[in-house]
Amino acid sequence: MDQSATTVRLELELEGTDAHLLFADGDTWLGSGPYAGVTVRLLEREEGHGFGLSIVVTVLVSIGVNVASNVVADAVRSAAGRLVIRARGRHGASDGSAEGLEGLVEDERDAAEADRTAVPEDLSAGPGPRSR
Amino acid sequence: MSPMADPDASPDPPPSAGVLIDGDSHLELLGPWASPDVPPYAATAFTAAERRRIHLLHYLLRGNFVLTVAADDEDVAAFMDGSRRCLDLAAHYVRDDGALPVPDWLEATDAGIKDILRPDHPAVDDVRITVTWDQRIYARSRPRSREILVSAVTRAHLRSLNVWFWTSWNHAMRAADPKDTGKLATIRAMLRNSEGFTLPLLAFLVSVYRDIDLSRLPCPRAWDAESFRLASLWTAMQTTFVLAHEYAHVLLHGDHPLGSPRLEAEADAFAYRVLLAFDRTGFTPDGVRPALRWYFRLLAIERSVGQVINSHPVDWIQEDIQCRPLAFLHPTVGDPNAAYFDAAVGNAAMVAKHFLREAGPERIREYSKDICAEFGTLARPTHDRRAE
Ligand SMILES: [Zn+2]
Repeated sequence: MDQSATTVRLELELEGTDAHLLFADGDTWLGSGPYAGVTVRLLEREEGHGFGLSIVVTVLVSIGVNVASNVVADAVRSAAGRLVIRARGRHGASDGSAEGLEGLVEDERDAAEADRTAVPEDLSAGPGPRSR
Repeated sequence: MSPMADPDASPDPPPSAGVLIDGDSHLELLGPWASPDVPPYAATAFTAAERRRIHLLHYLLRGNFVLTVAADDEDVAAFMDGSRRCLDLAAHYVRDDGALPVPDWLEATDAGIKDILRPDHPAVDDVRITVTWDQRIYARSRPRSREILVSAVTRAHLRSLNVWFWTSWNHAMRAADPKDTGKLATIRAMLRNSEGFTLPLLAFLVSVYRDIDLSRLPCPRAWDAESFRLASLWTAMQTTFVLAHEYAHVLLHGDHPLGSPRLEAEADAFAYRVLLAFDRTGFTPDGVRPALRWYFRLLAIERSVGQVINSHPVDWIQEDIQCRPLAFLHPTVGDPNAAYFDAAVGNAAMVAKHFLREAGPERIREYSKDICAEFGTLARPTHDRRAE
């Protein structure tokens, strides 16, 4: 993975219940064309089932330095290949609209970049979600 | 007030109390109503995330009160005063610890389902219910950890949609041409005002897909106390069904990967049996059928609307959803009047769907933008890494 890339972790609620059809070509989606520089890796499918006929997956999005957040949001929607109902990051949540996802990606990128440049004492908090 | 709550639009409204209390809502949270320890809400004292929770809780608390179409100015003023106090209370709860208590309606529904299932499934008592802040009509089971998640707004949204159905139904019955005596006269009257019927529904459906400020969603008025009782009964049937469906997954499908149509049908049939065994007046096959028909039809329309406004390929049939209730809703016996009403409810949902399909994706997206503008989204700052 590109060392200069930023990675953000997103939980996506997607329409449909047929989780096995997702990312049918393997667990990694490599962006090309307008989405070059974006990689979406499927980390896990949540156990369980929602009555609203949806599935929840966690993805790791790797974003090249100069890729705009609205492009990243489109790439995520494209990688999922189905309706994104809601999304959640480590620091916030959004609806599945282009603008909502873009804002969430932007916030998560800012947070990830802040984490990378954080002073070492930040690590003493140990594993688990870090509070900002 | 939204135009959907315009009493002048109703011909000859029946005499009725102007404000009703929803006994299945969140009366348990009104305890500190008069307490001086609950100060007026000050938005600036809260973070954006807290404000979002406050508005969601305000939406739930405000739902304890329902205006009828007969409400006069005094009733509306009292309702608005009460709504303001609900906002203070919501802030009070969020400031206190931010946790969402399991509401009485959910606790009672859960206890009733557990009572029915206990003899055959002693493990039912290990199943825990967790309430979430998700802004969706939503329940989710995690069989391995024996947990069922339910969004707090599920009941409030369903109740609003049911109240709107019943008010529209009564309104259409009154408006039907007296010479039009066929069985579908009411539906024909609804068709003549399909926009007026559909757009308020759309506000709730769009709120599933957009971060609309729930605090400002419209409050559908009940036609009268009896009509509200029926809407509440439908809501109880729908929430019980959804919860029982998730119980089926936890108790029967723990080791299976979920999502197959067979398991869904099994869970639906299980939930239907629980519903008919549930200890509440009116939970009969004839009573349950239209309530679930309306619910599944709305679910299908909701999904299509989500596809349209997120510029996704649109499936107006939603076969997976539409076919689900057929297995248990297919009337095998019956009172012809009940069957007729059931069919009419299905047709009412079709009126809304037909209106949306005719409107087309562009117009629906415009409606969605109007709804977001009218009811307010939780705005984000503009960003500097945007590519044009
Ligand atoms: Zn299910």
